Amino acid sequence: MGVMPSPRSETGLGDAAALDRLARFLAASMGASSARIVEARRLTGGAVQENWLLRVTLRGGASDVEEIVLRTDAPTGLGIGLTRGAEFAVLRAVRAAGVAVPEPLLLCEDTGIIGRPFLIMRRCSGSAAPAAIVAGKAGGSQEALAARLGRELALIHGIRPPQSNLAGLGDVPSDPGRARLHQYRALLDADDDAHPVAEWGLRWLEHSRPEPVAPVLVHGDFRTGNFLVDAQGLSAILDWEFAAWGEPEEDIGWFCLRCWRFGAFAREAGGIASRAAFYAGYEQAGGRPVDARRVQFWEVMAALRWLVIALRQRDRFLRGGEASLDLALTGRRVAECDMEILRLTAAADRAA
Amino acid sequence: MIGEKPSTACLLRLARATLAAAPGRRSLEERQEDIALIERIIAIAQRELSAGGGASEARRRISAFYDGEPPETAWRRLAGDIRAGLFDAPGARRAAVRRLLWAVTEEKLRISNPDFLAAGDLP
Repeated sequence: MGVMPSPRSETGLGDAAALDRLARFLAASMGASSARIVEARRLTGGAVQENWLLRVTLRGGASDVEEIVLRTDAPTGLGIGLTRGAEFAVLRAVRAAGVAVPEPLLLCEDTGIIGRPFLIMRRCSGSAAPAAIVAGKAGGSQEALAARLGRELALIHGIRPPQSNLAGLGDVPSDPGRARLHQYRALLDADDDAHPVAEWGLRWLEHSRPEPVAPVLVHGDFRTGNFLVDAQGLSAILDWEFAAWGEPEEDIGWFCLRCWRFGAFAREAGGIASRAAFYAGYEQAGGRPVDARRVQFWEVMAALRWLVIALRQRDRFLRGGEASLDLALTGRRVAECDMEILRLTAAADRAA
Repeated sequence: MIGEKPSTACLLRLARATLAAAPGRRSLEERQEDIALIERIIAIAQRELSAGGGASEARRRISAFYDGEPPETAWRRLAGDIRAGLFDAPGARRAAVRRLLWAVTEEKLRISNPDFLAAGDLP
């Protein structure tokens, strides 16, 4: 490697003038005479987006909001995913459908405030820390949490196109599997290095593609680490920037991918519990009966997808100048994806 | 490229730069996260040193698969041949390529994430 990027710099919210503009925006948008940002703290996690916890005192308004979360793009992103405006629309739609999500409050697409568009949500309680969640330190049993996640996913998948308020998701693909393959092929081709295992996975996916089913709203990053759990259990599902129209098994395969079990490898539903508990919750809440072969296809797709994303995350460090330990180490996770592609395709070939 | 990116040397440089940098506005939670990641980098470096510092056996096997072609070009050629469908048909050739790919992957994970490797095997 040539140039060593300097350690990560803070963003527009570290600037007092930006905080002042933000306070004025919040006051005007929330009907208050004035607003004071008492604390602005960047939350950990979120390699693609930045999340800031804001403690705000509002004067003269009707709102009682004191703790809110501001969500904006990271300095160098992946170049894929929704705009904050589209993500805001998705949050509103899923909340209306009864999904546990933070209440979306405001959208600001004016880059004159903090330099980038952002959305504001009400803060939810709980922790998203994967280590604590897979260790069972959250409220309730692990099987119950997996079943609840299954139910939430079924509610998300209950939203089907067309939806005029979700135009930001783009066109509805007639064959989401094929569309994903084209997308990942293009992203892989943009990388300078050769990736024989990814080619192996792509080839297998091209030959094993099941018949497409009617698209539904998919979360696109439904996994342990992207939901909050408190003493009562699940409190909110987060990180909707990859929501899209797709096949339901795409979310199921992603959730069950071994790379997202955080060391609890035997508990196949996100490192939390058995697949059976997760699937039962999903089906009881009206999700399509889970088809193991379709999930198998989408799980290989999930491994390929994570591989492609890991390469891009790595390049944000190697080429984009973002000196993040997390991004750099993500480059070392490509081999995990390789292993899963080889393991899952071998199992499928053996079963065929 | 067969080897891992970023290299271990590069990871260590980043770890050192992170430790040397002023905490600035980074919270205690973020600093604790940094330390955990630096510990991972040190563990990777230790394993790489213990293994002799290189992925030599995998490189030898890839080269041997293409009759002594240099490993880097053989690796690229393998990607192209898989993409062209040369190993699609079930049989010994497909199985041999699968084993080769597994051996390379195994070697990487032994350094980068041995726990992940230990939790699964090729069926």
